[in-house]
Formats: sequence, structure tokens, C-alpha cells
Amino acid sequence: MRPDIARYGRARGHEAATAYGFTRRSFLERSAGTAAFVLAFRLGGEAAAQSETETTKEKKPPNPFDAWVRIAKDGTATLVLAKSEMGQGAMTALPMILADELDLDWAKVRVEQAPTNPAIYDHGTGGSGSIKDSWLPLRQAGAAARAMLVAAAAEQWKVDPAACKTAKGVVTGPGGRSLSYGDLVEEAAKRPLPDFKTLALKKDADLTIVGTNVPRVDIPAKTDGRARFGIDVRVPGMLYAVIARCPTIGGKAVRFDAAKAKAVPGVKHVVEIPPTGPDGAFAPGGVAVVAETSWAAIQGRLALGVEWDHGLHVAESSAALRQQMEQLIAQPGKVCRSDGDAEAALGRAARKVEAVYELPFVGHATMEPMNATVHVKPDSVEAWLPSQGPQWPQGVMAQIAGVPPQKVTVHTTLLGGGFGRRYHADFSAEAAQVSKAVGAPVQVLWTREDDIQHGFFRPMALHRLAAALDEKGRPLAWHHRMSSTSIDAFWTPRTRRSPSPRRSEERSTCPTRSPTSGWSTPPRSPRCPSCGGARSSIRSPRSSTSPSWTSWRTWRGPIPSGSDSTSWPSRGR
Amino acid sequence: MAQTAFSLNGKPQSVDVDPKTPLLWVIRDTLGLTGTKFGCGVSLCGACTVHVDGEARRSCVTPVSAVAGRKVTTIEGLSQDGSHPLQKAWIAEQVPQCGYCQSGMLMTAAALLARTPRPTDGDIDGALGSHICRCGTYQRIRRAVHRAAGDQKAGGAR
Repeated sequence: MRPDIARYGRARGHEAATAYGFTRRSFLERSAGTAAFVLAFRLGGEAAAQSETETTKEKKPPNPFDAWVRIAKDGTATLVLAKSEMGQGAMTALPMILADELDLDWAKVRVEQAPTNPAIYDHGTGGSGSIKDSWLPLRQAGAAARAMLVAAAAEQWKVDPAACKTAKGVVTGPGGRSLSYGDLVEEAAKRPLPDFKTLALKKDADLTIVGTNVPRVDIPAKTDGRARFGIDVRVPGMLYAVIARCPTIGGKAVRFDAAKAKAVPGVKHVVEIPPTGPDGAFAPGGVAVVAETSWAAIQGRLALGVEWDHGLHVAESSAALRQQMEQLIAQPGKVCRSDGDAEAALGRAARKVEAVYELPFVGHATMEPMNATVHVKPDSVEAWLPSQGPQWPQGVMAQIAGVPPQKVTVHTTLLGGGFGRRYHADFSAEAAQVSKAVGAPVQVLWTREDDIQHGFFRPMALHRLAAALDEKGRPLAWHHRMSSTSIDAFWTPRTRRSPSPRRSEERSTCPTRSPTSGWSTPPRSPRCPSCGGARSSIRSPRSSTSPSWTSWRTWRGPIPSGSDSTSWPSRGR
Repeated sequence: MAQTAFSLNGKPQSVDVDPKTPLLWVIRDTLGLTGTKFGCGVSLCGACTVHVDGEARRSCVTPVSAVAGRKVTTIEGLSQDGSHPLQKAWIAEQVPQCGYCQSGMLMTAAALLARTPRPTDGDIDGALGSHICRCGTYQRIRRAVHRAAGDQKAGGAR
């Protein structure tokens, strides 16, 4: 059901294959594909079908003058940013790559957020992959645009393009004649696209912008109130909404007092919205209070007095989950890796080290609380989203509005932090539902309490580790068993699969110099549908355990000399 | 509902809202100045900080009635053209990352400098320690406050 990852990577024209044949990027794309797949089954419709096709088929490189760069007569170049800026610097770093290969004058570069078009752009911003994954496509786009500009100048001068040079937005030809990009762009954009396979990229030594310390383009607006985050979107006629969601996962409202909420000055509507996604996994639904200001909506929600049916998971708690995990971890599980007989080695070891690691749920707590501003119109949708992957909400909102995804325009705003939380489409889906219900543009605001209570938390996990050491304190065997609430369960909620047993990435994180090792997970995960990646993608349940365990401090042994010290632990201490 | 009049960034304003409405929402939703941010709503994070008669105040817990007849300054009013020494220092030190907390940081820092023109690290921590930056820009904030205070030495006064 899932596309073959290695083939997938090649099909996209990128070097996706790493040592373990899996990249963060392909995970994120695959996740989006999986989401679309689930949607296609549950809701039906072409949004999902479209995304699925678009993410799996090979993308033909677009004309860079259509997709990536606009050059004005005066030489001002507007570069398109297809990733979200959430504090990591993508808005500066990615245009630097493009501008360098294109030989632009950085002083004349402007940056513009890309329209949400998965057919052209790879919008997903996460897993620390923006630079790595954009590096080649942006350089190719820049090199293609530069080649087209040079060709236009060479034709005009009737000279060999190879005799022309470019720098700072100017093509210089034999005899010192020159033309600015602004003068050439109209002709250049009409020329045939060069073959990306044979396109020459700059040598490292010739890069003039990449590798330099360029001031970030987003900073000035972040010092004087001009920067617009999702929460700052203001649209004529818009209303503000907050949503009362059931405090337990999977519950629903039984009774609420709409009249009392509407009695709060400024409150205009009270609407109930259904859950979205399989088993309500995408967004839980609830009771929306829609008002003239955020504050009125918050006050209206307080007046609702909702009575909840807490549903199946009412007895769920961190303590209950921990108990489940303890039971699960005591059983033999699915073996993820086995080299030699780790248990036997442990049995006869001179020294044995054991540790239990417990990881709690962790909320993302972005500084800017979740929010989305959406206007569902009769035959189209316009949305302003602080999103890490606007292509997913685009599809989800299309389903909600009953329009094709091409009719959904998403404006990606600045993000006041992301950390993986803003990959989810829940807040966008809610705003689309409420806007559709009240027939006006609506900004759904999450209060901080909503954020902490209804996040997609980094999974809770329990690890039990054991190592056998020789007399010098060097490892002979490592045994690792873990149980964790599952991120996978979010995508396929009914399966409750264990965390990542099939993912070969697991192997790569086990140090290679341990002669024997065993890694296993219980056959299933404790039930908890509301988990998501947090700054470490699928590694979430283990991201702090393995580094701590592989630290020599844990072993309390001497630091070995010689070659072992560089390979075990894998890197430094 | 009741009329409340106050000065906002040097201009007289009058709003017809519930007097208990937090100043934050009056500024953001009623008057449309969005530089002042909502972070927690309970005075824990500092993102909503504005000046009331020159003093740093958390607008999310300040009822609009409390500023009747007083002077309110938001990030948009810190300077006409981004020329406040702190704004220049914030750019020079490349302080913001996501930037969401920075309006509040700047407003508190500005109130600090008005009161203490040459703050020590301790003064800065005392004033800004109760602000939250989820990106962790605290070190650059401290450097930028020193820079704005005219202390160009790395690390600033101790």
C-alpha cells in the first residue's frame, strides 16, 4: 500500500537513498500520501486522488521564470519560497541558493511565498530537511534560468554563449558589452528549458552568496510589528471563533446552551462541527462559538456549559498507559534487529548494565497558538494558514467545502514556531467547517489551554535496555526493548501498530561495533490516537534514549583508547 | 458595553466594548494593530507586553478600563520608522527567529532602558526573565540590549 521508498526517491529526481534507504523528506511526503490515501477511502473525492498522483509521479521541472523567479526591468528579482518560515531561516537560506546559482545581485532580491501548488512545489517543511532537499532543485532552477538569460544575450550579440559571463544580474559578452537580466528576461523566459541532466552547476569555489553570513530577510519586520503570522490575518467581514472540544479523545457534546453563549455581547453564531478524519483522528469536532472578536468568542465558550459524552477513552491516563507499557515490555515482541545472541551474551557477561528510560508526552507549545483563517465560498476556498505543509490542509478543506483542490487557495503566512505540530490539518479543517457553516471568513483561534490539551503529543515511551561489558568496559552485547504510543496509529488508527518495527532506520541508530544486539518492540502499541512527530520525526520515542544510553557516562566505564573510541559510541560522548 | 478613551501610539482612541475586555483584544481585534501578540492569556509569556504611561504591562490581563485616559504604546508605536536603538540592535544582532515573542521582548527592553540606561546582565535578566522565547534567542536578546545601551563590547557590562 505504501510506495516503495527507494523508487520513490529516484522518481523525484533526488538522491533519496541514504545508507538505510530512507530520508526524512520521503517520510514526510509519504505521510502526506498516506493521509491522502486514508481520506480517499473515508471521504471519497478527487482531492486525495490528485495528491496521490502528484506525489508519486515524476515532476517535470517547470520553467524557472514561471515557478521560481520574476525579474523586473530594473533588475529587482522576486524569488519564490516554497517552504514555510518558522524561525529556522528558510526564507533567507533558500533564496540564497537560488540567487547564487542564478548570479543575482543579492541587494536586489525580494522573497515571496509560493502559492500552494503541489504539482510544482514541495511545500512540506520539517524534519530539518528544507536545505538538504531544496539544494539541488533550487540550484538546477537557478542554473537553468541563468543559461536561458545567457542564451538570450548570446543570440542578440550573435556570439557563443560560452563566451559570456554572468555576475550580479548582468550578462557580459566578448568585448565587454553587457546586458542586464532585466533587459533580457522577456526573451529568456521564452527559450526552451535546458536539459537538467546535463546542466552545469557552479563549482563550490565560485559560490558567492552561499556560505556567507547574509542578514535574514524576515528580521526587520519582526522588530516593528509588521510581520504577519497566521493569527494576524485580517480579512474584511471576518469573524473570530473558538471551539469547545471534548476533553477526552473521541468524546462528543451531548448538551450545550447556545442561547447563553449568544447572549454574550459580540457572539454571532454557535455551531456544532463534526469530527474529521478516520475516527476523528484529524480533528475532534466540537462546538464553535463565532463572534466579532476573539475575546467575545472566548467568553461565549465559557457560557456554553457543555455536557460531554466522554466516549470510550474516559479511563485513559498517563498512569494507565504506563501500566500497559510495563506489561507489554515484559513480553517478547517483534524483533527489529538481531545480530548474534544478545541474551546469551548478557547471561555470561562479566559486567551488565541495565537502564529503564521513561519519556513523557510532550506538547509542542508553539509561541503562536494554532489558528487558521478560512473563507469557504460557494465554489472556492481561500485560506491563510501558518502551516508546515499547506498541501495537506488544501486537500482536507477541499473535501469539507466540496470543491476540487485546485479551487482552494492557501496563503502560507509566517509561523510562530512549528516543531511538527503545524504539519497537522486539524486547525485548518475546523476553520473551513466553521466558515462553511456561517458563510463568512472565520479565524479559528486556539487558546493556550486548547493547545496544551488537544495537541498531537510527542509519544510517551518506556525503554528497557541492557548491555554486557567485557572487563575493560567495552560493550559485548546490547539489548533494547521499547514500548511507545504510536505516531503510525494516527495515520492508520485501527491497526495500533507498534512503533516502526519495519523501519530500517532503527538499524542505523544501533552502534555498529557492538558484536551482538537485539532490538524489539511489543506486538502492539498502547492505544492513544493523538500523537505526532516533534522535532525528531519518527525518531520521537527514541530520540533522547539512544544518545543517553550510548553515552559513556551511562556505562560508568573507562573511555577506551585507540580506534574503538571513534566508533563506539558512534560519535563523541 | 461602554466607551473607553485612551491614547494609542500618540493618537486618541475611543472604543465601545465591555470594560472588562483585555486591552490585548481591543488592540488586536477592535483596533486592528496585530504587532502585539496573544501567547497565553494569563500573563505567563510576555508576548502581549505594551507600555502604559511608559511602563511595561501585559495587555492580556489588563482590562481596557484600566487604561482609560492613559497613554498606551504598542510595538507599532515604539518608533515611527524602526529607528529605536533597540530595533536597530535587534537587526544588528539578528535576534528574532520565529519572531512571535519579540514584540513583547522589545517593549519590556524599551521600558528597562528608559529606566536603566546602562543595564547589567542581571538587570536584563530581571526584566526579561519572565518572557518566554520558544526558539531560545535569550543570549542574542541580552547582547542586543547591551548594544542598544551603547555598550559595544562583546558581552556588555557585568
